[in-house]
Amino acid sequence: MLELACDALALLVTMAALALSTFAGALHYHQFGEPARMAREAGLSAIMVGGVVLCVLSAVRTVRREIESQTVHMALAHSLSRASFLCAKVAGVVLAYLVFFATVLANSIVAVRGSVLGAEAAHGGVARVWGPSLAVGVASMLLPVVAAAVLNRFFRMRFVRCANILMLAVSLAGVFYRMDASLVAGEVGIALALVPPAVFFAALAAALAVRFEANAAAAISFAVVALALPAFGAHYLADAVSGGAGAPWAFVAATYAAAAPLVAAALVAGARVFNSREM
Amino acid sequence: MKAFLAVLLLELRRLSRSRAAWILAGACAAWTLAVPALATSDGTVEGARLLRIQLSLGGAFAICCIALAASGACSLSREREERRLALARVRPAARFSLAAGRVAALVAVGAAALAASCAILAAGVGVGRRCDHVLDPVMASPAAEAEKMYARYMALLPKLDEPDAPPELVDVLTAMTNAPKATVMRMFAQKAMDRYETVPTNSVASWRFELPPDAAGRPLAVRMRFASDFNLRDEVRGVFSIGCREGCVSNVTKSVVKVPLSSPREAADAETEATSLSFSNTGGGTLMLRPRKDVKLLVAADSFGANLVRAYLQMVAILAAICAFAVFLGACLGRTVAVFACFVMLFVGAVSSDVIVSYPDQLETDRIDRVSLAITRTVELAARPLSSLNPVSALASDECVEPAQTAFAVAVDGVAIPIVLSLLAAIAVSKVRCV
Amino acid sequence: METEEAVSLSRVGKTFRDFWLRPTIKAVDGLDLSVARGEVFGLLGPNGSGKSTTIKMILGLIRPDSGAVRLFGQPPDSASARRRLGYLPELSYLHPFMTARETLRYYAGLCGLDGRTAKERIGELLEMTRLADAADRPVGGYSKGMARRVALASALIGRPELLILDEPTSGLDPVSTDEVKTLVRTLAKGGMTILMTSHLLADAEDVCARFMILNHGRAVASGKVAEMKGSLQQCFLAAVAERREFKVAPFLEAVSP
Repeated sequence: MLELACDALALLVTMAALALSTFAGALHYHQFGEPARMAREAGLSAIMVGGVVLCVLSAVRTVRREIESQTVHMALAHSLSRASFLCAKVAGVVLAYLVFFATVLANSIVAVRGSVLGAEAAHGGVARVWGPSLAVGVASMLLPVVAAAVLNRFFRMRFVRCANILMLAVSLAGVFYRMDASLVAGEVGIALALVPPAVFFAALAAALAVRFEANAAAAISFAVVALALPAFGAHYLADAVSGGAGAPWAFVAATYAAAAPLVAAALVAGARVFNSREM
Repeated sequence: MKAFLAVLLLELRRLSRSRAAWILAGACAAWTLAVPALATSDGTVEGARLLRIQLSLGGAFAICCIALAASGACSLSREREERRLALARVRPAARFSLAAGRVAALVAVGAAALAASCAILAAGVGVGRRCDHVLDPVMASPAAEAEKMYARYMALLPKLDEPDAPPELVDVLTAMTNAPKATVMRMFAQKAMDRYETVPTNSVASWRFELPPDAAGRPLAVRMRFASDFNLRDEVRGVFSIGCREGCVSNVTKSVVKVPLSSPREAADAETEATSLSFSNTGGGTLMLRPRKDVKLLVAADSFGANLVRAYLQMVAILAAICAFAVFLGACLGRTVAVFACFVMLFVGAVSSDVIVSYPDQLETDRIDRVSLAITRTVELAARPLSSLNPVSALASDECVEPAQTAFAVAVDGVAIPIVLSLLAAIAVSKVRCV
Repeated sequence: METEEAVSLSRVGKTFRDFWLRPTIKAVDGLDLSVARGEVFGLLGPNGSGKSTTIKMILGLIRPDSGAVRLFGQPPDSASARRRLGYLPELSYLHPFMTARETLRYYAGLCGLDGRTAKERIGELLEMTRLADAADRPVGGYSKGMARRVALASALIGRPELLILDEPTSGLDPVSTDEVKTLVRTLAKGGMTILMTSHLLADAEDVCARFMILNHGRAVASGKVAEMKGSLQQCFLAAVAERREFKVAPFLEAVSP
């Protein structure tokens, strides 16, 4: 987890996702029909695509790095089973993903709220995103980077780790300002449906990385993602909560129930391959 | 040259022994083979063919672009991270060779994979089918027309002070005078492109074309799009004619029709003189169409096989530019950041033209719109040598991939851009700390 | 301009800095060094004394903050200087997917050798390093000693006038160490200038004619091995004596039954 929090990849993916969720909703020419729709779809898309990219690449890199630098030998020389090692790696990736998820979701909620408030202020005219929301979105990208640079310069703290943590803090802080509780509940509920696919792809990529080299494992994982991604279309999810409807909890629960055996199967397969592999 | 070949061989060995090259070629071949079985078309033979070419070759090309971009971005950055670049740097070889050799190897692998896809496609759809040069009607350029429109509006400016000036006109003129002239001109140019021409019942419209000097005796056809943003299909009946050739159209189902023009008598010499295509509307309703977008004259060119070869060369040239860009990023940045930056740039480059096209006719009064569109236009301009030369859709719709365009793509994308980027990568290799 | 010196460093200093350009380590501090043509010169010192940084400045991989580095009277990153140079790094850094023969062919290409010359020289070097039998196996499967010999052969492929060896015996068993030393002595007899680093005094004594001991980036002693046999050992021991003892007693008490 710490290794991944220090990884430039996590910072880059998070920043790209924040940019997408902040600006896609803010661009005037994208606001077809209901004002919050674009912000919501952009936020969910950012979580979905960015999350899958982060999970696959992080899982592949963390497992391959251990195997190729032979640090896995040190770990396995202690009383750690190979299956536990693999599960621990996937758990670390999932934790890093959850940090990303919380950051982008908080930012996305602020963007959606900003669009709603902007539409209310327009009184039927051309809607503009509410200024403070846009400011929070931009601040959540830039302030942590500046603050992390200052912490690195004067206190020698790790830049990427500080930036990741501060991005989460600033994004979460934005949620507490003029927020509508029902909106938060709806957005969080529907976004939770995006976690199981990401966890599955993390487990799959880690399992593949045990057997294949980094590029091949990532390529196979992304091929599976390309086949499966249409099933997780963000606009369907956005539709589910549009018009003030609550999160469809039965659907969210079904997603978890469907993903659990797949995650378990990927981990078991990965552990079996790892056990049979000569190091 | 020897160093260049040594690096090229090294990179080819790396790609072939890590199985990346074989996986790539296999993926391209499998994709090209699998798509015809998986894709569902509109049920017509033409539709199936178009879909097959676009999906199979387009998909294989996309796979090559993504895989080779990732591989290129990893190439030099991995050498630096694993400390082998220092060993190459202390040799007397030119640093340009270290980058250019890698680009050449990646292009060679991509060319082989695309060749496999093209061969499979050619075997599947045949190579004998005719393709056509696509000619636009000769009209004033949209920019010139925009200047005229601007001048007309500016002539109305004194009306702003009149008390009985129509409020719509006041709004438009105020917005125009507040917006930058470049924005207004861009909007007018777009309007000129989309300007509709009406053809009432029993009347004739005509458009001038510049036929190639060797057009005499070659088959001609008209392609017309009878659709607007509001109406997907229009009922149309009429007769096209150019010189002594004629073609009748009667259509209620298709949004695009292709009408062959045949000659009722032998008059090959006279044809070369005739450059005006006329359309006589014999249907029951007034027809609306945009001449700049909707009317094309098709002059027979050569076969699908020859077109495929040109498209192949163009795709390889685009691939060379992408690989060179990826290698350059790998020379400047760490592996992860280079791959990420490369994919983001490719994605933004690919979607930027769509963003610009889908932008509605507004005067960009919102600052965030102005800034974001300025950025998008810059990216689109930078990516134009890649995005505007993609030949797959032209190939699928039997449009001739023009030899001049292919030559341009090979010269610019295939040679100039890789050389410039390899030189920049060589500078980066020398400057970036390498221990 | 040609000089009698193969390598010359004049008051060279190098400080490594972080992203904010704050100094982190002063690796080399005002170092003067010269290696004459045909000489075998040893750069000795404990880990972190600045040997590898000095070598990398000589190779042009790192630029010095102050002072001047010259190879045969020319800047180290000039192509003409690099043409006369061979380099063996501290670790072998080979492409694991290539065979020894392919590795040598690759470096021959980078040195600009034509096909026939390269083939002849690869054959000679494979024989010399006793790798002819394993020449067509991927080097990823080689033992450390074999990989070291491939790296040495690739350093020699361009027939360099100056051979720079960074810890050439690092990680080798005594037999392989002896083989490398013998090879270096043979090359020196042939007139090649050799600059090698080591943290083992025995290596320098066996191979080098002249030496310099570095500590904290400064030269603490230099001279000919034959003239300074006794003081050499004292200097070297003084340089490495700053190390602290490991405190093992509490650990042993904790683990004892």
